Amino acid sequence: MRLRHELFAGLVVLASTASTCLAADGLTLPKDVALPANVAVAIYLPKQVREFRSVFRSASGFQTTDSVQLGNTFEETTLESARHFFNTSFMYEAAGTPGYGLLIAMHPNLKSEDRQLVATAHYAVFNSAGVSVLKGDSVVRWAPGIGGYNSDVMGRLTEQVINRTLTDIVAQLRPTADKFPTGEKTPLNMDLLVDKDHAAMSGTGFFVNSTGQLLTAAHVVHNCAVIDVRYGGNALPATVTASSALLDMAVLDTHVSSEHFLPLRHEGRLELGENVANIGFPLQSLMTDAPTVTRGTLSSRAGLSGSLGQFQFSAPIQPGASGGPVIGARGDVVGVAVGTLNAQELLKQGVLPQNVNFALEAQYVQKFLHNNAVAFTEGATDPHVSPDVPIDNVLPAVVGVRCYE
Amino acid sequence: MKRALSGTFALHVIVMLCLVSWPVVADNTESSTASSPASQAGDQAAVLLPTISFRADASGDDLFDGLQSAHLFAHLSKEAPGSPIQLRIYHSVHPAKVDAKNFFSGLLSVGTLGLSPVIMSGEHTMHYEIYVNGQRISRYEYSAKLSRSEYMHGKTVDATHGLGPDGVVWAKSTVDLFLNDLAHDNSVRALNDEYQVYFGALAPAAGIATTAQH
Repeated sequence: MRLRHELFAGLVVLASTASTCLAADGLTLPKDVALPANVAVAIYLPKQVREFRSVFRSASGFQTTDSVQLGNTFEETTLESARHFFNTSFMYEAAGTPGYGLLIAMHPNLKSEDRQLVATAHYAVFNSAGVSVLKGDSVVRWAPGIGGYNSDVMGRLTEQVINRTLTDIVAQLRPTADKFPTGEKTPLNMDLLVDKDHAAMSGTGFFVNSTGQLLTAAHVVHNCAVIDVRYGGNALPATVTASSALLDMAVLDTHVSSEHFLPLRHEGRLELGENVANIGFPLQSLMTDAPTVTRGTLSSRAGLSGSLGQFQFSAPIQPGASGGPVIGARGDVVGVAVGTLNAQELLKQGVLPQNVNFALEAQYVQKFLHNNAVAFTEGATDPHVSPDVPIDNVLPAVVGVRCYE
Repeated sequence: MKRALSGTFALHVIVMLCLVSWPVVADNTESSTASSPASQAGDQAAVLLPTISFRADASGDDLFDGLQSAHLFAHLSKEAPGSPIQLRIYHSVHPAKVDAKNFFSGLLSVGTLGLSPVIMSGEHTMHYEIYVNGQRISRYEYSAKLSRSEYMHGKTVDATHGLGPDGVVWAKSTVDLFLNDLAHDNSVRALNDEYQVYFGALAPAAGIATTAQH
């Protein structure tokens, strides 16, 4: 059977550039490949990607309105495409997936490159025993004409790259139930499925006790399939043992003892104008695995309007600093960095904010740890305040946190 | 406030977010089960959510007053950028198919009368989503098939944002449906419980600044 996918009906022109494409001028299968293939297929997509949905503005007559039209989610598009290729297909769920003959892990990507929109998908295919049987990449490009991009085109581009990926897999594996029989569902090592080359999110954490438990921001580890922390030159696997979206705090457990851990400010008392230092692992995709130290002051006891339990500090921070400790002048943790002002947005209003950053107060961190039965220590009550924040003993307790999907 | 100080998104994620993501809607929609008004009153009286940041498109913005008048959302605010809790409301439409007859009659109107056909007939949906520090904890959708037959002058701004006069009435009616559903929402109740644990002594009006400081 021959499969040919329609291009965008004159709306766009696709240039087929994928090295793995079967045909440069479209998607075709060898004549002896019958679809749908008689095999049960589970598909793994990163959670964030599953929920992507193309969105485009509606027009009322000739007037643009504020209404939007919603396209399918990436998951819906994937399953709809897979239905044409395989007689049974479903999403892979770590918690419970039916048995499958093939498992396809797909990591799509959409980016602008040389004035083209480029959709790619890195894929890896496993049999029911968890053995890798195929890897590859699919690429679809689109050069915008007058009017530039719109989400409708993006939705169609997404569909194209999924179809190209599945075409490639079917053409190379020629799957059948005999060749890839459905096996019993066995837990698969998620390290095989996630994209370890590209962290979906990265942040900072620090140990709060000697048993390997560390604190970070909840949004850094939300939806992660695999988490690791960079500690002493090693990547340690970690799991979330407690989390609060409201506080934006999470506890990770590495199950590795740590002789370095940080005390929290006694009774969480904040001193306005106190010298502070923030330690973090920002921009982890660009920087080496070394912590960054910035210094400033505790500039306000209050955060943004409507915020809860936050204070403001001036030590500069960068993306990836979330979850990092804000160290007070006694060498203890006075707060955990969780956010900063959006300078780009404020610049549109003619305001250029500088070093306006926010941290959750130590008193709420303590309460969170206490409520979740996580051991921690409090700093000394010594009223002596050093003009320079001591950090030498702090650095070994701070780690980079990476989230993979 | 930029929550994504917040960890470094991989470049591909950034690109996809910029291009396709807002509003992002998942499929794990919680079912919108109907509830009785009587039980609603009792449940809602028990829950008073803290300051919630309100974010909406033009259609959703029209619902602000109706929501704020409800006990549950008494602290709903358009000026609380730091609130960890956010209510997002937006309107979407799957237009009905335009057949040739309608299409050409529309063009005729444009050519002869200077009028634009309103082609927003179709299935309209109001989306309500509650986020806590970027994590969605609840989502409800209410849909109705609306038909618009009126014509508008080409340069006239559609004050109904594509809903039409009847649609505006319908959109406002979804506020009560949402409040009904929320009264039985375990995620919202758990959120309120957690808020009380950590910040219960802080009444928003007394302990938390409600205007941005510059």
